[in-house]
Amino acid sequence: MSISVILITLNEEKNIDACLQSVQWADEIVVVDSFSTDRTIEIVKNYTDKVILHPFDGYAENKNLALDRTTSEWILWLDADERVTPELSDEIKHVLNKTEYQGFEMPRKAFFLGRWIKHCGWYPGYVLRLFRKQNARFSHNKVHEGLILDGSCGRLTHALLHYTDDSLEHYLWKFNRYTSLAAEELHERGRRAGLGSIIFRPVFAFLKMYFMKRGFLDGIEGLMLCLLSAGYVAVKYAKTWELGK
Amino acid sequence: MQKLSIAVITQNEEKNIRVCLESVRWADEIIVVDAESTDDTVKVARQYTDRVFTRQWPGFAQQKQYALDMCRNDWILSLDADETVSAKLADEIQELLRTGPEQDGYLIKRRSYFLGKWIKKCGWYPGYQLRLFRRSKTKVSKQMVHEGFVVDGPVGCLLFDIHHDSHISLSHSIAKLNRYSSLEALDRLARKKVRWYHFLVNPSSTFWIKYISQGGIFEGVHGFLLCWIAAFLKMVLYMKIWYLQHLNADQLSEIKKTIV
Repeated sequence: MSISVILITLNEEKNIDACLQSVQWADEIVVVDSFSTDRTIEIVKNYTDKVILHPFDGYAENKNLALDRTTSEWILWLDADERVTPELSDEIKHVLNKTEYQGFEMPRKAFFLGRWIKHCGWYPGYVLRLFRKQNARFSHNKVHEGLILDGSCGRLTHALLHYTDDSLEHYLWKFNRYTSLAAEELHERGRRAGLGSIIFRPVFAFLKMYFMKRGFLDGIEGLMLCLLSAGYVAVKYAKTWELGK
Repeated sequence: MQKLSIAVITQNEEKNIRVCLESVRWADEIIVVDAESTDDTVKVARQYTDRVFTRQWPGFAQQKQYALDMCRNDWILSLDADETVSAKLADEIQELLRTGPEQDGYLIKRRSYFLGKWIKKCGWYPGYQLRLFRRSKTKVSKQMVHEGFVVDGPVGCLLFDIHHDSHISLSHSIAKLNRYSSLEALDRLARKKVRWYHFLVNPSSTFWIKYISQGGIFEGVHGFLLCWIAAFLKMVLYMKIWYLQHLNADQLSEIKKTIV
């Protein structure tokens, strides 16, 4: 069974090498790059010649573009800050030999400031990343692109690694961008926010993540993550208020 | 009758510079010193004055001093590109210069806006700024991040306001907060070790001081957000210091390169 890896990139020189290294065993790698100004493209070319330069039209559009250029029956979709472990690679090759499923989800180990966050609702955090090409399409949604799979979905046991935020600057940069997108989306759906949402929703978000999801077991990094995530909720609603005023 | 020069320093201010200069058309001379803007700042400025100078950014005090040096008149009004002179203030200044000022410098109230609202509390208003002064008696102070002028002589106050609207959105505020806290964290790295409770205690006290003692509570949602952002900045700052304190020397020098 052949398998294609798809990725979309923009200025990922720090991550991309390790990511592609981890999927060298795949039959094909297709990368859609939105005109990176760093060494991303140069590095990608060491692994594949299927690099498509295309402006960023949205996550779904660019991923669908990558999907359209693949030639394998199965697709593994990755982000540049993710890695496939050897165990996961073996498991993927093994299950694809014989399966009735149209797709597979896998757990994902996400690292925040270098620490694997086991709680906070982050783990196992199953993600659907492996699927049969003919049964799937990426759908529009401003922040978290969704994959729509037509068919049944199995589960893998080994985890994908996600090296998300290696610095707080980067975390806050993303925080700022995503809260804006999320606020626009709420605003377009006709939602309005006031002081009540801005004050109380973050409190609930913190209590849920830190106590119910046991973020307190993730050490000081867990505390930081829960506080920042509460801040994320506050800023999301504050920006929604800003759009509506 | 005293003549007046306006001194403005700019960098990529095409959004603000037009209203700024429009509000001081009545002055005898306008000086704009631009730090190599890549937008249309200079083009817009030239519609208001021939005296536009381009100069690489040397630091705040040096650039401001250069602008003062370019002024031909002894009385100077120093403005930021995101500020405007209200009509009443314009009348007041013209009247003052016509009758002959008794002081060597004047403090002016500044009406600052946050997300479109004039903020009177949180120490924002009147927020007197020394902006109108006799050049021969004034120096730019070198230490300050924000502008400062030192007048050697008596100083008075004017009645009317400068308007200050940087058209800051929440996204801008967060981006600024991110950058500022990184710089500040490097500065404070060597100070006392950050513990987990600093993430909770220090931002809380910042918030309550601003919200209650400084009256943010009277400014509605705007006031709340203003104080909240100040507190969030504190929290992020302590997190960044904590993070830096846990790096080894190599990682630290790597980070210093990316931030400065």
